[in-house]
Amino acid sequence: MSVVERMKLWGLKKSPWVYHLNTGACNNCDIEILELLTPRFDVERLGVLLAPSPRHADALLVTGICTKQARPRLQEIYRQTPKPCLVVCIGACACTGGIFHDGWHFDGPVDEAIREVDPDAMIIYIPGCPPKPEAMIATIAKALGDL
Amino acid sequence: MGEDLEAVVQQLKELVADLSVDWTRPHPNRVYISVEKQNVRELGRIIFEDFGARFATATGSDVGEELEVIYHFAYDAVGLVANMRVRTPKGDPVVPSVTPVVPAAEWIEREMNDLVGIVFEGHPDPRRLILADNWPEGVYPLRREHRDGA
Repeated sequence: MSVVERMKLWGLKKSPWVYHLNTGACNNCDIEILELLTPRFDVERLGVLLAPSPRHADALLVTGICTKQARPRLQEIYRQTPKPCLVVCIGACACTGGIFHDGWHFDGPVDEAIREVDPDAMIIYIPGCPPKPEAMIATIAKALGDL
Repeated sequence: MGEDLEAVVQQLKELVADLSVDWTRPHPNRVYISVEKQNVRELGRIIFEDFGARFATATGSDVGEELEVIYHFAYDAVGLVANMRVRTPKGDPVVPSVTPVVPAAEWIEREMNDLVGIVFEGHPDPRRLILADNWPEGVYPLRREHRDGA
């Protein structure tokens, strides 16, 4: 690994800026993400900052099944995110399709859509309906520790 | 305060008497008013303007050989829900739009057009609303044949 790559990874782990992306969620996971960012859990004290654009982000927080309309947009946003970046599938729907796996609007789980663009993408999964904010913090901390 | 449920229901019954083909009241707070499709817009206008109920939403469903649209109107002073019900055969899925008299029905009629394939004649803006841009024309995801074929 080159020095530049090591520095990029250090920057990602030191303070991951996240971009929140809803690809067809019911809003429940999104509410839990807001819970993370607001004073009760306040992940900003750990260096996690909500970024206003995917071009500024280190991690994509993806919620919801990947709908037919959202799939090309999700892939475009992944392309716009500077690499290395993490894709965090939040909730049962983003991980597997959940209860909507045979829905007419479903177009494959989120990881499938991302791997179509980048087979080596770093994808982490936080199942739950919705996952608890503690679970999200623990998973992201664990993932960053493993990098 | 002060309005009596029975008096309100009686008033509604008199207003719609000329146009409705069937009147049922399965629960004290709920009436179903069936109507022939050529009279949909006029009956919608009567319930909305003359009677003064609030338009809550509408539902479209596939009931087998026919498609059914139910417009739900609420009269909040007494907690009454009045449902205007119209059916049309699948071979001729055209129903007059009530949007010209009830503007709030615009998007829900577009949604019913997308999902159940009911065409609302006289709708001011019948574009696709919620299906994906690349969804094929003429495939209606909430029709029974779509479910059975899936």
